[in-house]
Amino acid sequence: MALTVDRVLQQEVERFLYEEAWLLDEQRFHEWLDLFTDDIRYLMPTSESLHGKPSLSQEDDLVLGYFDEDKHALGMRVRQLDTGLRHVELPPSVTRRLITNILVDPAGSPNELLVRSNFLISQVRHGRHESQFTGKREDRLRQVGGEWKVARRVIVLSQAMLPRTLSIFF
Amino acid sequence: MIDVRPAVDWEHGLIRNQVFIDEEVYQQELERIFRRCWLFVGHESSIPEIGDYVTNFMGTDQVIVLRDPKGKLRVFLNKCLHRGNKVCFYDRGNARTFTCTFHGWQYNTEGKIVGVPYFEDGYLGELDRNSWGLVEVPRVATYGGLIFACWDAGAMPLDDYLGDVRWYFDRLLVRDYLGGMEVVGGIQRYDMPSNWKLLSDNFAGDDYHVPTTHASYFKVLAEDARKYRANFDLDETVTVALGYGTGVPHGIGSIGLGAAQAQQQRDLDQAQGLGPEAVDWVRDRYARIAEFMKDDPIRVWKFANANVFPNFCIISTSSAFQAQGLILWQPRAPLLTECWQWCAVERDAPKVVKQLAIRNLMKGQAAAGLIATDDSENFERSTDNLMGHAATEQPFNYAMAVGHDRDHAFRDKLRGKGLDVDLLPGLVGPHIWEAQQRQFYRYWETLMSSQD
Repeated sequence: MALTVDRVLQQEVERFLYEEAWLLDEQRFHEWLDLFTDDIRYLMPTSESLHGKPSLSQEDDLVLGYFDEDKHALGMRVRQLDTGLRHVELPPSVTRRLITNILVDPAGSPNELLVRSNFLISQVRHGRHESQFTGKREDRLRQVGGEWKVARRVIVLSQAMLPRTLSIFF
Repeated sequence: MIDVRPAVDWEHGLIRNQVFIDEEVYQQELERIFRRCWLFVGHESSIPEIGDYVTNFMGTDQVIVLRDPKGKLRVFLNKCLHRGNKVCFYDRGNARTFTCTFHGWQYNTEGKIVGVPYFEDGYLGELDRNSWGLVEVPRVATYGGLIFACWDAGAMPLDDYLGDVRWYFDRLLVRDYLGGMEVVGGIQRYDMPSNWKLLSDNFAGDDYHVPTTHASYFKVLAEDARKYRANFDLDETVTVALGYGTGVPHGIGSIGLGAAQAQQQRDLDQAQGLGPEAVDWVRDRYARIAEFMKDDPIRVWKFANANVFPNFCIISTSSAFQAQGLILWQPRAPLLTECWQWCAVERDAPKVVKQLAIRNLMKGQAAAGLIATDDSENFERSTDNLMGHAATEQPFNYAMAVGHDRDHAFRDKLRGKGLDVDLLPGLVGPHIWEAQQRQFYRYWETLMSSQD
């Protein structure tokens, strides 16, 4: 299949996602936060297996998710880590993010791209309690002042039963 | 059967670690607690139509909670009577029948067998279909749309089991006078590496842990939005032990006494950002709250958390802009519990209010919230110690102000402000208190030590 964007752009986006994962794995959260546009919407829905047509709808605007964040809310999370009192990240989790299957497509608007990727995240607490999260992300990237930023991110975890509470970013 | 009485000195607030880690104790709980108590299994708003169902667990048993063709709520064990396979494998749905995927036995939503492959050629027509229907949980009842089920056919009625917890929930949780509550789609589920009782007793009222465990949360809130800071007088915040002494113990924590003025102002501030419909609705809401509570001896305006014995818990602020979390701590092993958390909003609220309320719950006491995550870390650390040997020799200490349940100094303080807390249902204590947790273990010990 042909690339839908040019090779250099594809590589640029891959580099962007790898750099982002690196910043998170190195706990450089303020720099990570700068990778998002001011109007970012950062979403992670819950998942339920549905049978037939239950009358309770799953409208995406009236449903319980895991994350539904704007920039301010993401910033609060980073500042909570800064307090030094965020027990669940003391000592910080050791994380490694494997980002793969990166598909880059035009978004209809010349300065935006749609980027799909898969992830496998290993989170280790206290050197021995390991949890793994797998899933996919759908990002809308936007060029702002010559740099790519994430303007919308939807994270879908493969697990419906999470191995632990979520104190890391995706 | 194991005698747990030596391990539970609830009168002095000393609980030995064996009750959290012992496999035999755990198995006995499945029988004597989870097969005898009324357990929360869902909310009516999740299954409004004929054939709607949700699956859930009662203890370790998966059940199907459904509305049958006559509109009746029924709860069935999710198990084919032939060889024990599941007959339903979804979280929720709408169905007229459930068919086992092993040999094909089929059941209707009244639990009756309606299909047996090779009934004539295989069974020669000799299977008594009436005795092989789905196993039905004998007792199902609702309160405020909350559905409870109980395996014990002789159990006390649900209303008696809940007792005075209803007085508080009528005002602060269920609120039929505001239109009642509605559970939205979506459920959060996560493993919690701890014993289900430690998680449940934490919700019965443990304001003691809040300033330390959740220090980072309050620090960020304080920096962030000073005008939304909790502005209440902690002297007028109380804990209530329902069923104190001999009844079924339910605990409610962080109850705010007095009128809801400060909260009304905060809700109005939030409504301003959502438009005139939200503002009008908030004004009307608080007028109705004032009207409903006008004859109460002492008004209550909020609670933060509650435990309905054994494992149903609620997280709340009683604000319209914070959805209520309905939580089940589902036992899986002595030191493993699944959290199942639903989200309830006010049914009559404008959609924009509901949306904001859901987001606000997600940011707080929720799987990825700024609060529950720090709880899970503390429970994981204590569980590491519960796997020790020397570390499990000392009992846990629930002994705060033991011997002063009825004569705690805070009572005189409140009486000085004209508040006689004896006018409220249940035994009222200060917001930092452990009597309701001692009551939890008092009743747990009673059930664990009796067969009927």
